[in-house]
Amino acid sequence: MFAFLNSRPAWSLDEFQRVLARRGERWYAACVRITGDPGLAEDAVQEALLKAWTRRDQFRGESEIDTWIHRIALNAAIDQVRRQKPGASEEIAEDMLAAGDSPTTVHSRAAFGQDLGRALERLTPLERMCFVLKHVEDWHLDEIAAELNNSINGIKQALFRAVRKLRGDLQQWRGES
Amino acid sequence: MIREEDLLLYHYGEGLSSERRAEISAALDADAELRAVWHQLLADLSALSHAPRISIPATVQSRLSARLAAAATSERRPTNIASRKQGWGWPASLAAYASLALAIGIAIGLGMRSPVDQAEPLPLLADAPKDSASFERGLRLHLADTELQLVGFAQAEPAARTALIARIVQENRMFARAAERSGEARLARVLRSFEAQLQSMDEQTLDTQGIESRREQLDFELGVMQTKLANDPSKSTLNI
Repeated sequence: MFAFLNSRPAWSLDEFQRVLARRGERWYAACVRITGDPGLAEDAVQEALLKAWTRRDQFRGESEIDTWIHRIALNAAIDQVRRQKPGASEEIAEDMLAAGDSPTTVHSRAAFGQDLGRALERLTPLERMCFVLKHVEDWHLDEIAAELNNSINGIKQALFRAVRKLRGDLQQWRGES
Repeated sequence: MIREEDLLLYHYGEGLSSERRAEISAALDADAELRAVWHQLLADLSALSHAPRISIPATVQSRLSARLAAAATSERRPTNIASRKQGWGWPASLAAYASLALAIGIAIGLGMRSPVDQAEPLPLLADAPKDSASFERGLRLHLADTELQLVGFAQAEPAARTALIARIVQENRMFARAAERSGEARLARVLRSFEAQLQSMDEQTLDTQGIESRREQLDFELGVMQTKLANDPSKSTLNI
């Protein structure tokens, strides 16, 4: 009834650019984890961003835009994976590691990141998506099942396999370090 | 019997019946060995959560920013042309309409995309020219579209100007790379020379008149190049 009280002036390009500057990294990182491929992740974020721009009059605040784009970008990333053959990327690129860390931190993070990156690479696309959506993105099992067009039991099994494989790699990495 | 899979679902707090959750909870209280397994699982999951932060490369951030600006520009383009008609007088309006007519004419004539569609990048065409005719068509549309996008440039907000220049430069580079790959070194050099001109339009010290003056210079050179392409479409772009 009083919807106009919640309304705000239409988002300007500058305001949208600021949201992109502040939140873009989180969207991109989530999509890289889903797709395992920086190029596909960029495409997914772009798709979500441009969709959000066309609906900019529907968002009341930055967090609403953030949540919406994050979700749409993940969906787009999942679609990208569906369209691609499994195992698209080599590893997390060096320039994607956080800037401003000491060389030692960068080195150890890179080592662990490469290891984890390779471990994620060895997962099937379904296992990787289930793990990232559940463990990193905190989706519910039924949401994942619906999005991936699979049964909840199928999602559980993929998640179990993913965690088993990743833990195995983790133990190996710990033993070697 | 309680398996690790049960413990995983217990950790995630879903996928188990309330009875099963109660059983696991009681077993964890009673069984030290199971508790050790549980703690190891939690430690591993925690380690897997501490993957390094993935930073967005600056080039990706700027491409996304430029595409957003391009989307905004596409929406505003008809308004820009209308407002220009009121404020700039007939010579500039005539030039703008001539540019628009040229772009539409090329698009219709070639059965290709509209100028608005051209706001999207042309990576496939530019990255891998399959034949010189399609490359030339793409190049002509790129040049016409560049002219159109720069209409009203001096009056745009600084952030939008920067983003638009970044996007056009990126597209221009793709065409220059494509030209180079197909052995058109001279054309590649000509295209690269546009880059400096484009970037000079975004110098922060320029006032509106200075920006407009550089835009007109670029407009002229874009027009010359389009004319050369249009006059001799059958020949190789080496003749540019």
